[in-house]
Amino acid sequence: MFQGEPLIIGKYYFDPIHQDSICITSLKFYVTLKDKHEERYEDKVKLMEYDEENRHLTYHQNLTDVPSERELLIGIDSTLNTCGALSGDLDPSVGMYWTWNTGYINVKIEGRSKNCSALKHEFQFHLGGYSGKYKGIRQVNLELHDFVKCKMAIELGDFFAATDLRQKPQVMSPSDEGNRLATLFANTFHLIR
Amino acid sequence: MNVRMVFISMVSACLLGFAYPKQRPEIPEYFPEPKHSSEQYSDMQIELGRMLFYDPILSRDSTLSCSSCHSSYNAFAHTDHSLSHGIEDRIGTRNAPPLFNLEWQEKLMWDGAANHPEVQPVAPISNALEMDENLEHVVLKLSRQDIYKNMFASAFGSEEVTGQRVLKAIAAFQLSLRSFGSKYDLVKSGEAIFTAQENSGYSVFLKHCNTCHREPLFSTFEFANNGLPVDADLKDAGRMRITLEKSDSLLFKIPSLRNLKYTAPYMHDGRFRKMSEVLDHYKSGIVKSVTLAKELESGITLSDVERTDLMAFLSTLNDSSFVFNPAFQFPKTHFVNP
Repeated sequence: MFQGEPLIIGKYYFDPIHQDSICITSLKFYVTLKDKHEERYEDKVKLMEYDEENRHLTYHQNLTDVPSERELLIGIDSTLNTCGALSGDLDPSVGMYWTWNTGYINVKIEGRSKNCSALKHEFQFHLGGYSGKYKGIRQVNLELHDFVKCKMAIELGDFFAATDLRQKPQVMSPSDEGNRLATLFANTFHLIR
Repeated sequence: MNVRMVFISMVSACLLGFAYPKQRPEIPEYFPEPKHSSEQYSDMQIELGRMLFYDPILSRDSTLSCSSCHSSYNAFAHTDHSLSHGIEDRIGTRNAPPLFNLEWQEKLMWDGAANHPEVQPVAPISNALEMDENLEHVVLKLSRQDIYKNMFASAFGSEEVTGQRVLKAIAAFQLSLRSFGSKYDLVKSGEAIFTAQENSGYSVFLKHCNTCHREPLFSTFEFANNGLPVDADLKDAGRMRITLEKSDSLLFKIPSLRNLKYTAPYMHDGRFRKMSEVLDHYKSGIVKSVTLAKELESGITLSDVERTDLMAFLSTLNDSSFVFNPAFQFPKTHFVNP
């Protein structure tokens, strides 16, 4: 969503905070719903790709009967980042892997805006990192206790309200700004009652 | 050089029961435990990795293979080239490092950018100054070739070509590159003895070099600043580029001293063509900085005799049995020019 409206790839939305017009051209991210104690969970990781054919992304998972032990994660942790080449959605050939520095790109948000200071007014946020102070994985802080089946929405308006595309329109590596945007993105998730 | 290859089916060899020679000699008792063991990979996975390593299909225009910059005859380094080559005669920013004993290296590449051998090939395949290709397209190209479908089936149990399998196979081959057949190794196993001069050189080595270039691998494979002046054109910050930590400024992987005969030029940017230049640097060329290795704060000054003896010892680390091992060379039984 963008400020309550359904997100349509390529459509411009007005950002009143920065007086900007923003369109999203690509939105991809890794999501995992797992039990907290699981260390190796590559079979539960799913790459979500939002586009015109996939405006309602679905994710199924079999978990324990102890809801308080569940966690919803955005991104890939250090264990899966350091265990070699993985398969499926985590195959490095799917385009969510940094080439100059080992590691998964947890989240890709790309698009254009009127105010964007980058070449062709195109912004690119590739968020990741798994070690040291630049760990890009985030837990979504929602009450997951009572759902067997639930709906969530991502409000990208919140993300861009706190992101000035004139100042920092590109993040392509683990960094302080990447950390901030990773937290910001995780906070855009809302439960729909 | 635009090489177009036609593959001879290896599957027929498999069907005839041809057994590929074991490519992994036993690890000597005096070696430490590997960080990434090659034992987890099958001989067929190694053989597939060897084919991929020598196949220019990995590059965007199919002109450049891994072996273009990692020649078996140079202990998988690139002699006479200070910086790596790329497609369309592009020049990279680092000296192609030799490839051997990778099982003992936790992080790979000069700056440790690759945290695992299975994901290391992504970097040169994707680098615009090297192969300028992407893994997804490599998978597509390989999927169209019957020989590779058969090879993947033999190596992984099904014909499916995936990024993971490509990377695992290349890693399997690279990890199989074990080098411990030098005179030093014969001495360690009681099959040879050093000459008096080599023994003296060994003492010089233990006194001045062994902290960073620790035997028997002749490197700790840690990262260090050895006081090289920063190249004004390359402006290479080394490991700091990866970690963004100032304490990693100008730190590069400590290379092994094995096979120096084959791996010139030396250093991350190939600035030294001879070992005498390297020793001159440690004697009088060190640039002091905050991150300089503490072992080098006073430099390393050797007498002429010590220097000669050290070179004699270092020559015992050359492993011709590795460099000329046919199991590691171009797989000509699988490739033939039309």
